[in-house]
Amino acid sequence: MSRTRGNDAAPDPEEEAFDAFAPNPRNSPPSGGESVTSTGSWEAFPTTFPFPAISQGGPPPTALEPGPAFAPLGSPGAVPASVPGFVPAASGPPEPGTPKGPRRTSPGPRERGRLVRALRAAGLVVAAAGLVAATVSVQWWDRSAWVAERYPPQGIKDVGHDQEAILHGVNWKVGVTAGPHSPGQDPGTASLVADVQVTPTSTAEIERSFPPRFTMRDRAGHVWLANAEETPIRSDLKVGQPVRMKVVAIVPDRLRDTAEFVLSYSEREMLRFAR
Amino acid sequence: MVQRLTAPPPDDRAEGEGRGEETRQAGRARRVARRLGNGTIALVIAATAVYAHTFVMDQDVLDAPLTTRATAGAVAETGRFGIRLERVVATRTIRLATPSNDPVTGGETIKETGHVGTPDIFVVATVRATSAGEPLWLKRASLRTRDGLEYTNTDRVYGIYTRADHPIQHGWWSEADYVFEVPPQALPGASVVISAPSTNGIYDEIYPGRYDQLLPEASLSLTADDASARRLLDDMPDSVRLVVRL
Repeated sequence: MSRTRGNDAAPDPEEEAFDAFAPNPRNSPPSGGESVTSTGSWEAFPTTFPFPAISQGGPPPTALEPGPAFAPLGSPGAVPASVPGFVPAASGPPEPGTPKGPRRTSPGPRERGRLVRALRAAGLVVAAAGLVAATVSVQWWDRSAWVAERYPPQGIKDVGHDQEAILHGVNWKVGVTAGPHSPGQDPGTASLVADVQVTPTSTAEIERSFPPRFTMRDRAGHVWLANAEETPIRSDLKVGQPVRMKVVAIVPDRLRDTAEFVLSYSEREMLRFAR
Repeated sequence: MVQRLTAPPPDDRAEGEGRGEETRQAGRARRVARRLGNGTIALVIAATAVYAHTFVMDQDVLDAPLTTRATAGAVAETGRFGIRLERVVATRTIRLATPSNDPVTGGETIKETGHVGTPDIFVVATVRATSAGEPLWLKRASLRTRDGLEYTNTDRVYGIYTRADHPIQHGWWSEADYVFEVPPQALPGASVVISAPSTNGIYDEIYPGRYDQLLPEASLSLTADDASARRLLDDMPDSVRLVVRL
């Protein structure tokens, strides 16, 4: 029967009982040489360390005698300098004449903790600044998109002096001259008369969007009203047949020679005629 | 010779272990206190952020225009237009007149075509205004009393007599009259308030007032003080003539 069978199997009454702590005669030292650490039962690793033998009734070995009182590490004299490889921890400024020990290459736990706290604080500051910047940026982008959608940039096409341009099914040609001073006109102002030649190129577009808005403008962004005095009706407009309109505006006297005529269907569809 | 490190006596060892346990407990307490402190700070910041969202302007404040105030005769510059109060007259009757050219003499004659009366008083405020950029029509005007009551300009006098429906443009100052029909006691501390028109187009008709935010308005003191207001009433002429101006 094997010794390795399960614990639930009953022992064989004829078999000798196994005692792991019984002395092994094959590993027993000679008479009087019993080891203090060996039970003699482990035959694979015979003890070779020269432990002193303990004789029965004799004095205990010197190694088991109580030593001097315990002293904590770091206190001077706790560990004699004669221990090879031992370097006592620095517990204060070195005494004069004391040779310096080897320089430490890695920070101590306290310095490392301080460094970790500093890094954590810096990370928090950077994260807070980043979050604030992100929040402001999102709102800025949102409002910018709203403004850009509501107020689209102007789309102005410049037309040279005495040149023509086509917009919304009409070929436009404009000449601006100074007009007479009208009664009731505010002082410091000048009257400008625009002679506008309208030549339709597409009847369908004229039906949809004629006439446009007329203004006089300068390059600084100022706008003045320009009113059409003789506006043709749509049914009179024939493709290829030019029709003339008279548009009058009042501008500051200093802009008499520089104000430009602008016609617009929307903020993105404008023609500006150079003087 | 190697000297052996020996264990401390049992009493010293117990004392050292007790001291180490105290140190560990103190460190644990510090960690718990620190975490509690951090959690409290985080809660306070979060609560403050939530509470800060209650600091919002109510609808009346949101809809309120940006008011520029000026004393009588001083220019109120709103950014979109500038305006100043030239003169103020109070009366009980307004005579309406129309100019015409005499074909015989060639001179201009002014013919009165009607008059308008009131049991209260008419206040005729003459202003001069100019635009900062684009043409503006300053049709909306009101007389605001000291205690916040507002009287809009009367519709009993047409715009051809007042030029209040004429545009103001950049580069020169245009004159216009605003006529208010108010009780005499409204004059002390009152001001004339002129608002820029909204540019929301059809949305103002669909949602009145909803998009009229941040509109500029000028508040011009009607008189310098209460004594001036009393003099204005005391020196009130019987009637004022307004002539058609194109």
